[in-house]
Amino acid sequence: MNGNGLNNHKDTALLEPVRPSIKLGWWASIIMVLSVFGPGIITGNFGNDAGGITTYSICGAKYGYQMLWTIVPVLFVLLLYQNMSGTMGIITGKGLAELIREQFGVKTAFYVVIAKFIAGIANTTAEFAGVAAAVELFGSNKYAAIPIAAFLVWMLTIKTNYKKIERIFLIGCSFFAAYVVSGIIALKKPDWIEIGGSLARPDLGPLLNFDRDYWLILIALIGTTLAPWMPFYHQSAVVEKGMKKSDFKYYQWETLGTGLSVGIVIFFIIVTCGATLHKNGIQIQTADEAARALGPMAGVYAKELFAIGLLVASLGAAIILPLSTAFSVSETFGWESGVNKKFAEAPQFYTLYTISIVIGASIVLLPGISLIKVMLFSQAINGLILPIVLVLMALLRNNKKLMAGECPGLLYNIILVTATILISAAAVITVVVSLK
Amino acid sequence: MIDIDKHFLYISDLIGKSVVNAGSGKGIGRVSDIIVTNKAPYPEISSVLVKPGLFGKPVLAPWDSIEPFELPLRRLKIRDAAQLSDRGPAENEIAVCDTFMDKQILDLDGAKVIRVNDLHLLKENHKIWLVHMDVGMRGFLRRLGWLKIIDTVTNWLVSMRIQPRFLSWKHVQALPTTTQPDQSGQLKLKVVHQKLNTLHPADLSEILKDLSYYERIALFRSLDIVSAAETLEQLTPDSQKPLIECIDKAKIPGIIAKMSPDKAADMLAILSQRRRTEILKALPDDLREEMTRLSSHPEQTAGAIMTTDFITQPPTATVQQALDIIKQAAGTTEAIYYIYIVNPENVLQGVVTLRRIMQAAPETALSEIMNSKVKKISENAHKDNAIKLFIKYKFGSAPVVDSHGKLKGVILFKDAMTELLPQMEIRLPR
Repeated sequence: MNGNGLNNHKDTALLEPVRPSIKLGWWASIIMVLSVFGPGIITGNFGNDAGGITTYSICGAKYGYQMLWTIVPVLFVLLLYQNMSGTMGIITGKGLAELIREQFGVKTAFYVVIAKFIAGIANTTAEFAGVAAAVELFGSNKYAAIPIAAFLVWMLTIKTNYKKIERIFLIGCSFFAAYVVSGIIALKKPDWIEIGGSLARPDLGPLLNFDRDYWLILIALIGTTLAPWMPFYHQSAVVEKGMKKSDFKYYQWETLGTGLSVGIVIFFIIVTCGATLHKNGIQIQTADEAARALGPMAGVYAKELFAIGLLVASLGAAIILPLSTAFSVSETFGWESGVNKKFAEAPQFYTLYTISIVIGASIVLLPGISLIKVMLFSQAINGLILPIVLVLMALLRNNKKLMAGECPGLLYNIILVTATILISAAAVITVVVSLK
Repeated sequence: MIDIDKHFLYISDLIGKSVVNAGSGKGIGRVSDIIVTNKAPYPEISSVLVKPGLFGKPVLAPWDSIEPFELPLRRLKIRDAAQLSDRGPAENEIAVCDTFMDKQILDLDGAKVIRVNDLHLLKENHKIWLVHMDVGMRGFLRRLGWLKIIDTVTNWLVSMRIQPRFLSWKHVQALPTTTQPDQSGQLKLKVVHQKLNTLHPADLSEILKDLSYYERIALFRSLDIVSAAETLEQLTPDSQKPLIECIDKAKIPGIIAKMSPDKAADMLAILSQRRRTEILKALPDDLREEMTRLSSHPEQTAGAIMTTDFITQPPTATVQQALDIIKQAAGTTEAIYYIYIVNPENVLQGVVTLRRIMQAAPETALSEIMNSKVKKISENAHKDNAIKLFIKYKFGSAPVVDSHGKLKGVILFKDAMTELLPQMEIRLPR
């Protein structure tokens, strides 16, 4: 042998363990299911943003366990629409704004997206307001916290790719367990019979008697669960994750996971506020008021945990909302989009993202701004866009050319039309009320 | 001087215009699309699609039945309403709005995916050709109906107008607008541009990454065997899988033969057992053996990234003989710069570079000019060792031997670099 013979090395020692061949057993199936987890769980959970937590807290404080049953229709609506945007994303491989542009033309897409852009800014402002409220619960100053928070969320997207950001969001989702823990602390001796009873045999008296406040909260609950930014972000994320038709059966599991996790969080927020604030007859207007009021009643940790939940929810939504805006505007104009791209590759996308964060954070810092008004305004403008988005989604979902033989049947469509009409009505009523 | 406004129009000027009966003046409907016949150099308008009312079924009006008109167009007049029919577009016809308007297309000139904002038509007498895609902001604003206002504003502010951005029809490849397969049960491009296969495989693979699943499959199916093979080589196993699974089975042996053997073996390795056996069966004997041998190497080893496509010569061969062999092999073999000298047992003896061969007299024996101190890698060594060797010695390819010193293959510099790329965590500029 000539040469210095690298082959004289102990070759086996150099070998890294070779990947074993995968037999798709029980474990592998679970891994496959978990690997598609992401877009749905994230969108659903961060849909419980500052506005959502506020609404659930008010609901619990005002009506106790009486409105617990609303979790069922609220989740149904959430999953129905998430299933739609996810299915469309998987089958067409395109974002929602892109599909609207292709099927309904420039004008429809442009005006929807511009309205969504304004709503996005208002919503982002509301999220930063949530951050401000949460840090103030910890005794920190919003003028210091908001710029830092804004910079952090901005950096996170600029510096990472989709995979990393998904992981960070999923970790963020686990922080929602704070509500569960705070609920367990607050309850001490939970009255499971009462809770179970109000779930199994709900008292529909106020509903049937058209109690005004009851109905308004019900409508607000549905309105806050389904915001127009959600299907846009969800579908774009599904596309960017690169989910394929072969992931479809696993994807249904994610929908289930989303329903469970969101349901549990809503349940515990309502129950916590119901068991403490409602029992003591305390009325609240905002989530931080709820947290503050929880302190003396439920022990000091309940307050802190509630605040952590609010902080994480608001921070996460403060990333997703600007992303949703950036995705939909870029898709409409035909610009490159995606967190996997670098700033130089998708300049418009990242500029839109940056603008949304900067404006949103700045408004919160304006002295004397009423954060409740910002929140109400953002909910009102959401309510105006939502019916249009829902109708467009229903039409797209039934487009035979697009959906490759995955068009829904008659029953699905009846449910879809009914849901669209009811949610649209709820959204419009929310607008009218919040403008009053 | 030609009055441009009399000869050019946008499809957005045409869509939505009312169509009336020339004789009675009675309204028939509105233009909802135009149909062109695809021919060189530009597709020519053959009929217009007229939609009567909101819920009416669109009917086709042949272009001959439309009365000639001057631009700017107010409405279309139909001479003979009896010529209206409800047939769909024929094989070589394209429904323009349905295919292009607001859709993504492939810009073959810039090798990128781009969205169409409007379409630019040329009018000469009564003939109309589709000549440009408007892909700029001007087209977008025109569609929104804001162009005049924006023009006035920018003119007043900075004495400028937003410039138009056109893409010639000659550089346009349409993408599928449906996820539904056609009558033959397949999803493919309706019109395939000849220039599609002239795109660089690296560009093609980037384009494929930007497309949705269905567009990707349709585009890939339309590539010829060479382009398909070269493009597959550029893709990661994850993105190769759906493509190779969707392609015509008859095309696969040809594609594998055109790919470098190591890449082809890697690709086969990710397919399902059944699919792989199926493909292997369809291959010619020599190719099948090579694939089986290459894929028998565990992942992450030098053997797994080597190619078996290289040149060997006995030590007794002359420079002239070597040159002839190189000339023969140059057509298909990539690794022609190093000629490996092996004894009859295929044990590696040395290496001669092409440069040395060119310099030597034709009758010189290779054993006289070969370098016998060859750096080589064991086929079971971790591939990182091979990469280190490349970084240290900076050669173009390195031989891989088994435990008896027999030459099994060579690792090419570019393959070693490809392995290195994921570890470097960089993204190449587009």
